[in-house]
Amino acid sequence: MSNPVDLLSPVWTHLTQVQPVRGEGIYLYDAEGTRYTDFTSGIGVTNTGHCHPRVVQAIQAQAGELIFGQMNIVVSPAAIRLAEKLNEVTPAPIDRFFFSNSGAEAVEASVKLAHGNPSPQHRRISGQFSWSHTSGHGHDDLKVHVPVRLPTTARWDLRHAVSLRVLLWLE
Amino acid sequence: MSQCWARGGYVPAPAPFLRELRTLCDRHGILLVVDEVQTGFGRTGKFFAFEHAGIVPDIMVIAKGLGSGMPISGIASHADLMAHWKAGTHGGTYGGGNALAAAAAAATIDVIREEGLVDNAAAMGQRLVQGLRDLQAEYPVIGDVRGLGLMIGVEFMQGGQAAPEVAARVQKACLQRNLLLLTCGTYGNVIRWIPPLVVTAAQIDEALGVFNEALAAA
Repeated sequence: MSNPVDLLSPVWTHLTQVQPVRGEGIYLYDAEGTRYTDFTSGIGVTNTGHCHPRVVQAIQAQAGELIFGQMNIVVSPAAIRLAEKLNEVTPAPIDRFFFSNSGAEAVEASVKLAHGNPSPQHRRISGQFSWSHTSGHGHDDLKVHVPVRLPTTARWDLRHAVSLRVLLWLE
Repeated sequence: MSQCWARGGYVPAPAPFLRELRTLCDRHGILLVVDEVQTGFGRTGKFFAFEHAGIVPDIMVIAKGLGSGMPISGIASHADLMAHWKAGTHGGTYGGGNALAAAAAAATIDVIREEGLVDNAAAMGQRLVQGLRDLQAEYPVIGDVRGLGLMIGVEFMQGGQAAPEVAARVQKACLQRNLLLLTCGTYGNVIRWIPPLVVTAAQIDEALGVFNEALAAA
């Protein structure tokens, strides 16, 4: 195989063949020093710009102290600090935070939390539907499909239908 | 629900719709789950997009801008609802345990707040929309210019029909000029503008200049 790029799975689409080696603010630079203006933010990720110095510093400092503190084994202080920060920017009464790795996993978590809620005023959507999630098709967002297999035996009233529509109107 | 339908072409949900949805959910005991994956962390000119409508969701889904590129996402809710989530029924190996991602996310929130990036997103978004509307007056192939903050879609239409081939040509002309822009939309006819929130007025103007050249070339 002559070109090592061919080692990458063909499943990824690539907007460009640019191979950036450095990022700074809104710009990416390749090995030749050519500058590219990144108005994609890597699909809406780099809100603080590429390699914001304070983000870089936080990662570097943390890497020298502790990289991984598994949540079911210990209580991660970095996660506690993040929850405190999030609590400052989210409105009351929101005050509990769960962490995962990707948008797809977070949507899955939201469906599981909503689904498992036994509060009498929030009726369960159904005990019988299933969902799955996939990431998007490369050119688009990391989007999540929540296909629902409607149980044939369940009784569906308007409340169920509205719940599902709300859940399904996810990206 | 998604408050700015990204895949569909950056279509913001109207605030009165969201408020009525909140009312309906409250009346019928339905949980309102909002997707802040792309709209969160200042993107729309508010810290979270639901603030535009003045509503508070029961569950919010966060990712993308949270970690500035480190893989981290999450959900947020209130204590009463979370209390029903039985310990051990959900989790994962890395979630919450990746201290690098958590540290990056905490620093990201500090940067957004202390550097005024939410206000900058609102101001730069206005500047960008104005510049795009000026171009719309010159190029009738531009249909709708819409969005919130720095999450803006430019729609391409020809003869009353979606024109994805024009959007693709303009996008390609931008790429040739080293301006990276994505498309979106049900018909693929929308070019989307989602620059980093640290973008300056001069950088917005420069990109608009490149876009103008690309429109003329395409």
